Amino acid sequence: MPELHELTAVEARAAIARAELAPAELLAGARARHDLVEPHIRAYRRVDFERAAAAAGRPRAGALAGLCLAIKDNIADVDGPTTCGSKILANYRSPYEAAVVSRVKAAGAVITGKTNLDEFAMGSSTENSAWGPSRNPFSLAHVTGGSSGGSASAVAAGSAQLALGSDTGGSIRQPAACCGVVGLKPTYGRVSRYGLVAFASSLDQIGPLARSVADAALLFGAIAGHDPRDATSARVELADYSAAAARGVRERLDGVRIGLPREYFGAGLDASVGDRVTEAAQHLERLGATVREVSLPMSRHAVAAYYVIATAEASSNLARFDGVRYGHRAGSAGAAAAWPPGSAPTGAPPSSLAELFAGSRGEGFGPEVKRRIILGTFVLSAGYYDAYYGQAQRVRAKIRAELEAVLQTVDLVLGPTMPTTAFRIGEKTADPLSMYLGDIYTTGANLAGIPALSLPGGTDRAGLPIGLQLMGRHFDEATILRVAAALEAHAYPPLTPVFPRAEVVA
Amino acid sequence: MELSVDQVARLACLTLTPAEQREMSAQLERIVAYVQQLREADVANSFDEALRGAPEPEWRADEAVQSEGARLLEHAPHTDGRFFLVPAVFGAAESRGDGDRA
Repeated sequence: MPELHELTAVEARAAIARAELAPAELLAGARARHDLVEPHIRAYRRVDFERAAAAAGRPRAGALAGLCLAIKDNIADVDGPTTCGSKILANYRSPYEAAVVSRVKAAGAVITGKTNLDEFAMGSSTENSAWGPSRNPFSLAHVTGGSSGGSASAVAAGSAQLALGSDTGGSIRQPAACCGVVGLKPTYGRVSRYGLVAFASSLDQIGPLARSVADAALLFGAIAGHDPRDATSARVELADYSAAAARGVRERLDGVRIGLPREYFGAGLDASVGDRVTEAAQHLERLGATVREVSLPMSRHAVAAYYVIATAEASSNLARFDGVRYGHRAGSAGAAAAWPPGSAPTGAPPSSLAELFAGSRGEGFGPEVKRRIILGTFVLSAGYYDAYYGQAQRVRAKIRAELEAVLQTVDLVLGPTMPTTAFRIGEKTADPLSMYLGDIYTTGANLAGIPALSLPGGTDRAGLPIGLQLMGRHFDEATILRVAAALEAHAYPPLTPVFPRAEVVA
Repeated sequence: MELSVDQVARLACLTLTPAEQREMSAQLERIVAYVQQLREADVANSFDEALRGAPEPEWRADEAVQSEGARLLEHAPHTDGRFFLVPAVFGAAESRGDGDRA
């Protein structure tokens, strides 16, 4: 008999539906697990088990009835601060809740709290949180991946069954890969971004993190769908995603065509990761799928195009944090009272409006956010705009066209999620470019707007998880979930929550 | 990098310490050198290909919706209950303004 925190969401849901398990018991299991693991992994920015207990005591019918769900702290709720991992929003309380929060509540989910992230979701390791990094339960000396690292770590360690993350260039899939869980970045427009604090609006998308494909499908089905409050939300028919995952477990994959991009297997890819992708392709062939090589020559420009477009959009989106309407204000103690221990505003009180703007931002933003604002402002500045931003948009269009053309000839593209397994905390903080290069496989799906999922595909020699990425056609999350579920059922069983382990040595 | 970090920081309304400027200059120089590769990419007809078959945008009706109004003031660092307070643009006293107009 598994312990309560070991139940998958689908198992717990079935037990609750049969009245064999009460939501309050399930929550108590998550809470007990949280108390054990959280001092090690620091996955949460805020927990509220009292509020969660009240919700669990009033069971609601719905797809997520009674399930324990954590939410990334850049998705607005009205129960406490939404900090985005930033000092500038340390005491910010949203006046409204995100569409996805309303949807998971309406589906009966019990919200355990808000999870840690790279500041404003900018990063690939969760080291950029003003409150310090979350840690990988597979090895506490290693990063969780980012930016949804708290969500991935909580799910992997069993202090939440399900979690919401956001993905602008890989921020759901990379932490999923690092922490051995499933993460889905839906098609751009599939899930409402209403209430998601904007980083790069043409790339951002909210999606699920979970321990199994069926769990991810369950949560995705609960949050997907049109929302008039998000102008980019698409009115495109939904599929039965749980049925798609179930079909993958039940049926062979005859007729499914998988492409392996030749460019993905070049320099920079760890052999241990590449071998697992090759092995996954062989599993798919045994299950009846056909696998063939495809070519994505423009993919080598994805990181460059991404870091121009994403930072340009960020520099514009983050202009709203000016110390006037909300958030930290230079010379004022309000938000600073909630800052991490040991940090305090440094500047003199501003004497002009210009100093108020620049000083509030200088004190409130962390180094990576500042770096991206500077880069984004530069690539949009007169004299450079066309050479950088304009050219990046043209490259983006090419990347999109190329992926769409390949996805006319195959149903899915298989590859690694990341070139390596999780790296050590601190290993790349002084070298942002090397951190950015780790986004090589994930940024393409955001630039093209297509859905992509990371599935755990075993571990390397040190025992650190390896992520396999499946990319599909616009709005065809169902095929991704079907094939991922088949791989999971026949080759890579879902993770049992990991008790945090001290450092592993590769 | 063709532009100084100091100059771009002013454009971005962002105060940086001298140490931050030094560190960022070196890092951004490498990052900008890396993204120069975009110039090599063949981008002929790029938008034509990308926009083929793209769905028509969906327009929403032009209807007034209730704004959060006064509740938004609750989150501001300094207000007088009706307006956001900011340092004076002209003169020395703190004055009324909404930040956008100022």
